[in-house]
Amino acid sequence: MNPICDLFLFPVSPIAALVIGAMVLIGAECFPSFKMPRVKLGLAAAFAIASVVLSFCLWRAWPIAPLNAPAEMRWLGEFVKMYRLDPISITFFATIGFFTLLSIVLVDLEFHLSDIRSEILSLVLFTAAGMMLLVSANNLIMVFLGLELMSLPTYVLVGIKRTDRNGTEAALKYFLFGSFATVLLVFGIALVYAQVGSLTMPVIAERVAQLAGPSGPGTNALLIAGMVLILVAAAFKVGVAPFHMWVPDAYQGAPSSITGFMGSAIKVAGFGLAARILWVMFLPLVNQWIEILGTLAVLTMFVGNLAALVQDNLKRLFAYSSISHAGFLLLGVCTMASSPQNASVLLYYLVVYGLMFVGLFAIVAMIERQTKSTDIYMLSGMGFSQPLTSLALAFFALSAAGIPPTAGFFAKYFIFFEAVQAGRMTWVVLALLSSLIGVYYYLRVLVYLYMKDAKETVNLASPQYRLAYLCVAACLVGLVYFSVIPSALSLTK
Amino acid sequence: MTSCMLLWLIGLPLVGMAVCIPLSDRYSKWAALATSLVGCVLAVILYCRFDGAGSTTMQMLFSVPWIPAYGIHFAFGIDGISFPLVLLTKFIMPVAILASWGEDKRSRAFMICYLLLDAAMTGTFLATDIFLFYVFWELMLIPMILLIGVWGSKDRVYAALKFFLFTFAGSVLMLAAIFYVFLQHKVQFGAFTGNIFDFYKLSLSDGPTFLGLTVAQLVFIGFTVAFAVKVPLFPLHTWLPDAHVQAPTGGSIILAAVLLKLGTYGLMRLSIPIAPIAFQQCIPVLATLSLIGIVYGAWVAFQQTDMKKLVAYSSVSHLGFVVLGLCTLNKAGLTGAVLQSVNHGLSTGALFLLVGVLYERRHSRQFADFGGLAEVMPWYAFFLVFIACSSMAVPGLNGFVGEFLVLLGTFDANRLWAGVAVLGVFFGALYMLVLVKKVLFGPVTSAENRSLPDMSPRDWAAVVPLCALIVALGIAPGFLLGKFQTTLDTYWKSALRNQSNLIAPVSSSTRKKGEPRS
Repeated sequence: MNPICDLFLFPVSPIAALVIGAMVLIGAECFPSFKMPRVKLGLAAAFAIASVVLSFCLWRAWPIAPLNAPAEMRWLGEFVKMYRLDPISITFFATIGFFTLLSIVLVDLEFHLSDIRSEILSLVLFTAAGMMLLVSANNLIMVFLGLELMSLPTYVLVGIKRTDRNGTEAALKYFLFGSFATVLLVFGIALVYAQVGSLTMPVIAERVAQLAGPSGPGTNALLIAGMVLILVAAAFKVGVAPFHMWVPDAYQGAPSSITGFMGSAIKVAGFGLAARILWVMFLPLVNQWIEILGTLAVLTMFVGNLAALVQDNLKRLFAYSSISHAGFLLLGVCTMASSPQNASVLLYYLVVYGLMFVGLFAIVAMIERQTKSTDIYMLSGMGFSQPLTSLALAFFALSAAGIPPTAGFFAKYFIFFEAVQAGRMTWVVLALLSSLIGVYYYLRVLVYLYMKDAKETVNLASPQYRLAYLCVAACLVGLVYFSVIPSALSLTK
Repeated sequence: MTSCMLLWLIGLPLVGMAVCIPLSDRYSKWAALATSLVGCVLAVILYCRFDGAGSTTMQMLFSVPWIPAYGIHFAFGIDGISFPLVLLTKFIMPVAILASWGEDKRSRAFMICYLLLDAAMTGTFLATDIFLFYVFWELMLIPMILLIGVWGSKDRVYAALKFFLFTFAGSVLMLAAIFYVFLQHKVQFGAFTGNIFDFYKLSLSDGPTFLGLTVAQLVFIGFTVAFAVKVPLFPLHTWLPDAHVQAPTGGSIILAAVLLKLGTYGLMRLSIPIAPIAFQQCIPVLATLSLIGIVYGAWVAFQQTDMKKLVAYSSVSHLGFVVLGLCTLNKAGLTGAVLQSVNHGLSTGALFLLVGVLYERRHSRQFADFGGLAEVMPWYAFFLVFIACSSMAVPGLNGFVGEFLVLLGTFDANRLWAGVAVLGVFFGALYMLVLVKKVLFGPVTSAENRSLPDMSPRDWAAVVPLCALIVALGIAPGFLLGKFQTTLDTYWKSALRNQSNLIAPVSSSTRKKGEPRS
């Protein structure tokens, strides 16, 4: 029996903090004294911090146990079966909470736009609560709830610049694709339920193991179809090719701070979900999904990296880069099939990738606010007029390209190595080739920063960017820390 | 105490970088120069402490666990193979900084790039962990691409990207090979390790897997392509002329003197000992490519009208000798290869320095713009002829010793190769003489050249130490040979011969050693 579960609500406190925070912020709209965006920003940040701190408390209180031992929660009654707390979900809580915090800090940059109000903060908090539900779901209905709680506010966030054509177009596209994914998810859940007669993940896992086991009657096409549909829904959310079409538009149309949020936290949640579905429920069917997933991973890397080669808009460029990263992450999910310990490899990649993505978009957001443009030409000559910011941008870009000694390299190295260890040398060679292609467009960022002459200088030294710089600094420190101590995120206690 | 020595060699440039950051452009030059001079002092201390004759393994070891889950350590060590190259790196740095003294555009950032490059190069030579080696190997790319791309001449961005992508493509293959040997070590010995020397014990399968190549050959090719790009070996050399021509003088000096040596160093440290059987199987290919490089590089150099391009192609030719020396698989060839690495660093570094001296005054590197400079700049003429002699391997200077040893080894291994290589020596003299003739002799054709000032004190300070080393290595190479001879003997015996099924054919010294065997 796990002692921490005797404490009332403690196991769900990270989610509760976010939900309460979101409610409080909605309520705060009623009070004139709370009208100042900065105060509300502080409030939202405080709840996000509380969520992170509570996750850490949970982690500290967690007894030494195998990675896949869920807790029994007495206080929560029937809720026990809906919610699964284990080291993986706790670390994902902390990660999601941290990226939410960074994004809230960044949202400060958007308040100068007349059509952005403080409800953006409560939307972000709701989204984060949905993500946490998603990574800790133990029941397919909870997966559905979590996914919806995550997606619906995100559609609004993408289109929150109501008067902006790109924004509304992006929101509509994202909404249509997203709801289609939800439909597939529900259909997949229904098919799985029809075959195994339960919605609880461990029960499904047992039945699937029975069906697929040596003495079992074998699996049928409907179960496989259900699994594939659920996976497709997850693939939509994280932007895995060929379900990535919405990503460039949504990432470009959304406010930059929200793009940073989507690229970091939603990826964490989506991959947390994918890993959990495959590893908790469908591990016995590994032979059915691993080839599909590996092929999709390689396809995604190439699609993302090749399409990014020709982009001139920074947001679109990094959107395609995030697609290619989704491919590498999917490779990480595949390696989890051979050992659940590889969850730490996946987590390390997610954290490092999230940090560089938020950092990149923090700088892009500043450039966008300053110049009303996110064209790559805006970077011309910035390297010497804004040395520190450019250095940070270059560092994030090199990290995204996976060039040593940045943390991005270690993240790729670990995933690739685990894939080699799982006997997937072909995928790794293809992944290496695709990173080679990818290096070119990250280098373009460096070329514009340092090797082109400035036509007009972008001045980013202004007190209004203080919070954004705080965010950049946090990402930078995090990345440096993770490259000096690459084993910091080991999940074994 | 000794273990900290190597850390200092790597850490000192980093300290210098930190010092440069708050300084102004002018003072950061001095800070960088001071750092590099202290680096030279450290190198001298290293020379005194390094036990060349007695010890055959890594010395001055330093090791701290880094990524325990994969057995990766933050580990450094030095042996006779890396020792001369570390010395070369440390001695070339002040020369490069002096050569870039006139660089007024953002010189602080320039110096920071230099110092980072210094740390990365030293780290690559000293790393005894394969992962750490790779990290330093890639770290070099970033300052180098900035040096070429920011401070280069007209087509600098193209050259910088080409340099980066070529090298990175090679590195990616190396990474795949690293993954494989990492895993094989776990499979064969039950534990992960990053220690390079543990990989020497691996026995790689020699059954065909892919396109008829054996696993060992694939691993060998993975490593070797990465290093061959850097060397650069014949078909992979096309980035070199671009990079050299576009890079600023100091960048070219470092590129030629040290960066290219990392390729041959990598061959000696990783490719050959990890997959010795595959190496012996690939010798005909490698030797052919290096011979093509020797002759082709020399011939193309002979055709150039741009001084820097000429020197760049001469590098292709000279580095061909180094790889050929490795292919001979005998003591003379190996010794010559290591020595020739150092020699090429000194003489080509000095050549780029001198080309830079002229470029600084005249902003041209075309032969057509010069001629008769011997009248105007007598000291410059003296040094150019002197260095050209070193590059042509005139007896009494360093180039002769190295080239002679390589040719001696080659003659022993395969007479046909030796015959072709001698052709390269002949062309080498030809293009160097063309360079000297067209720049220095004849009438002064251009009026602008009449007023060119001769060598400045700064130029003297840069070139004289190089000349001193060139003479010293030419007359008494023993002071350096003695430091790595013992290591090379062991290297030659253990890394190349300890593979049980190989011992018999290779060690019988009477037969030709370079023959392919299946």
